[in-house]
Amino acid sequence: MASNNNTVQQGDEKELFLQVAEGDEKAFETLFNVFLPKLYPFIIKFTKSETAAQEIIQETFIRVWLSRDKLSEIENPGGWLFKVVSNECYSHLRKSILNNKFYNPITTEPEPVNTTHESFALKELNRLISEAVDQLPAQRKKIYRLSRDEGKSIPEIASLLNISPNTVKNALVASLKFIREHLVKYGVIFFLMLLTEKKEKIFTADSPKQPLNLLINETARK
Amino acid sequence: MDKQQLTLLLEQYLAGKATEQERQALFNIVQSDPDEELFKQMISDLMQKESLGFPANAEPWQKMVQDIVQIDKGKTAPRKKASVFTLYRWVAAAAVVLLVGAGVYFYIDRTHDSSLAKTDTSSTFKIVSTSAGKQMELVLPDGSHVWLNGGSSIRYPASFSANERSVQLRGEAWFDVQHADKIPFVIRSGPLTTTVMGTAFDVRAYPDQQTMEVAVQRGKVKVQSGGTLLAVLEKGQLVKIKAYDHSISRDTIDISYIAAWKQGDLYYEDEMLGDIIADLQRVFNTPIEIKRASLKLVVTTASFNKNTDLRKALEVICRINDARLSENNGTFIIE
Repeated sequence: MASNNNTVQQGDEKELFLQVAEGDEKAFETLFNVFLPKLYPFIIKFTKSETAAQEIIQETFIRVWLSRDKLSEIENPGGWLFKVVSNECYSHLRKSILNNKFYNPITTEPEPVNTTHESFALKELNRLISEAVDQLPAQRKKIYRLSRDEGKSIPEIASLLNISPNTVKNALVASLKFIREHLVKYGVIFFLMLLTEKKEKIFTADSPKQPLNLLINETARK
Repeated sequence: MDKQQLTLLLEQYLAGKATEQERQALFNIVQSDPDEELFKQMISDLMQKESLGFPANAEPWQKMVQDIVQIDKGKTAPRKKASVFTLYRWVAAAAVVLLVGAGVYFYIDRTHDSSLAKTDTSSTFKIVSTSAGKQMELVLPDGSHVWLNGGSSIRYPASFSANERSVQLRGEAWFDVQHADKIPFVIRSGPLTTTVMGTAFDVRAYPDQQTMEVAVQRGKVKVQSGGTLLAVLEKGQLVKIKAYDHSISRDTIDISYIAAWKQGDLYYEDEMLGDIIADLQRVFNTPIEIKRASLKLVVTTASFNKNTDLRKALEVICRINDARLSENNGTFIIE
């Protein structure tokens, strides 16, 4: 997707978020390309580090992608994204102050562009997500695979399985939620932060609990 | 917090024009528990004022976004038939035969009908968990011993595959691994992968702690993050990895301190107070609250033997850090 989309207005942003909420990968690319030039220069100035800026960008967008089902609820997408990033920036500053103070004081030297950590994190995330998907009940797993692996749209899946589009949608929402819980359980918490968790609570009340989910939760709580 | 002063400091800092004094002033504000929401709002406002700028090299970014949308896809082609999961839950009594040692634990046996899966050899997994304050020793299918610390869990297959012995750890455990030619023993804990042949060592990777640690008592251990080699450790060496930026520091350790928790002793060296308190809560299973957030970040060294009671330990910690200890309804409060 070309980055000449940076002139999108707020109404378009909202539309873009809605498309991403449906799992539209192209829309997500556009979103990324629209916001990258708005976020990156600031983050560089703030962190004084290219690596840190890359990490912040990546973690932000991973979080957006894995919380995409929630995006439709967001009124002002641009403002929300700035908030998420400012949150990241703030915690980065806190952490680096701590590092400088208590560990070896690091002088701000230019660092090479490094993608090792990123690729590792993505691989590990991919593995954990596959693991979570494998634990989904049969029907949900099928719907999820059709949507993600075969790129089928919600209406397509609905007619293929002879169920209502709403059922498909709910199954996808529940699957994403399960995936997020799985990631949190395995300590990948630095990818999913409070901003999405607050809303998560509203969802737990009405989403049906799966047996495996329950069991593991119980173990984790003990 | 003076909002105007802070905005000014922030702007100077962002422009790279802040003097050392201004930098310090800003850092002091950040450290001394500012009004976080206000601070973040200011950052967000400044960010929106920033003019557009494009990263010099667009290619890695396009790869990044492509990678992100791939993370929730399956690696292999989807299976024609979904596997069927059957759940068994065994309570303590049933598992005692298998697991030596004490502790309250749950044992989950997840089996799925392997006739439906392709060539999935790792069809059965066991998950063993300890609650806070409890420890447990268990023997893995290959005869390796694992001593699981409190508030931890380990997941391993009922039988290991022929080319790798792989387990997943959440929390802390000491391992004594049986040597097996050409079959590495691999521990995955969050982002860390620890690979060994036959040795004894400790892995600490609690998701709620800032620092992960691997310490070697005997033999040789390889620690990786994905494809990146972080360290190769030998007897008496340890590596600490900070969870948030994966920065590492190496050190040596008296091997009698490794997994001191197995004897009930507590040993903390240069750890953040927040992490120490999280650990003490697990060991003593008693709620402890740190009221002043900045205290959590103070680096502290302390050790206690197994007879120290929690109050004594906390009193020592408070004395070192110039903090005050009080108790309210069974909760210790540090401020």
